[in-house]
Amino acid sequence: MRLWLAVAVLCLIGLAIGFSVTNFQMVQEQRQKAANTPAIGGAFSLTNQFGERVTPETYKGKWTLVFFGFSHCPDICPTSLYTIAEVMDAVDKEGKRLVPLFISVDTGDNAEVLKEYVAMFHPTIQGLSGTAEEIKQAAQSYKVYYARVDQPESALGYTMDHSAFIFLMDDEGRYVAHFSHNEGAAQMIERIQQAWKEK
Amino acid sequence: MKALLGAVALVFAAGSAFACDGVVAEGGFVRPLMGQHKMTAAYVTLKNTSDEAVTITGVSTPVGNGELHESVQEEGVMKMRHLHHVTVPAKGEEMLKPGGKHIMIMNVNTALPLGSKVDFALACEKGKALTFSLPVEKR
Repeated sequence: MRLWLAVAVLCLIGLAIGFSVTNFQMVQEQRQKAANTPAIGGAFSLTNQFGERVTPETYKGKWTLVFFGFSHCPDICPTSLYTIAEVMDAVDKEGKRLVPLFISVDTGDNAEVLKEYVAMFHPTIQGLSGTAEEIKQAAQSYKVYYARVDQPESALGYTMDHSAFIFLMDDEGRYVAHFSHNEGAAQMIERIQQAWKEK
Repeated sequence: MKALLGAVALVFAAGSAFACDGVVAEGGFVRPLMGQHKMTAAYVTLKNTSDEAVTITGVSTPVGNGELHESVQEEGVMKMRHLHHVTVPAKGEEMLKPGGKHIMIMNVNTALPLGSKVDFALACEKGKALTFSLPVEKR
């Protein structure tokens, strides 16, 4: 009887050790995973096309598609915006769950300019502008590079070099995925729907 | 005989002078005006049926200032640069498309309603211009 008791106690101790080791490993793995997730997204304070102040808090509870550009950009930015419009028509026409945020890196853009600009593409798109400091903070949050490049020999006058990634953020403002500018709407639609299924 | 040779030489000279002749414009569209900005972009495929490469040196349009530009991606950063020329290879093509080489129109002096047509003339290094018109389309 004593022997059985000793065996049982040993078994329990073994199980407890096994459990805590597994648990420890799981915690470690989760920490590792968190460390590997790029810290994309975070603080910003900008003005939307209706003149309202917006921060990440404004969009809490909704998923966002965040991308940077400028309205004085007739080639790349409209291409991304048409793609976003196609994505919105397919996944969330009225923007109930997902809001595209077009953040301008050009201090020449303001609420009035962006109101007319983003409306050309899709009614759900928010066009955000800010001061030089505000733009800098938003771009840093998303690890986005931008720079004004003067074009004195072109009637264009200037252009803005900028990272052309589109970031998918979840309803708590956490990074989920990113897309490069030449990824088509189909890939984005698939990734968004997959993310919503996993949620 | 001399006269004949002269005539043949003239024909050849004329042939090379009309170097733009081997190029045809296919498809293409002009984007509508971008909000308050009096500018837009145009795209077209240039096909060269001749045995010689053709160099386009400029673009003009009655609706504004036409220029050749190129969007390039370097390590995830999009850049746009003014091009002085675009070469269409012999028996080949050059697609002026979104996110690549394209036509820019600045200081647009008229409304560009959807479905309207915009005239273009591409100047070539040698010879006469290539003219075509493109519809304004939202895409």
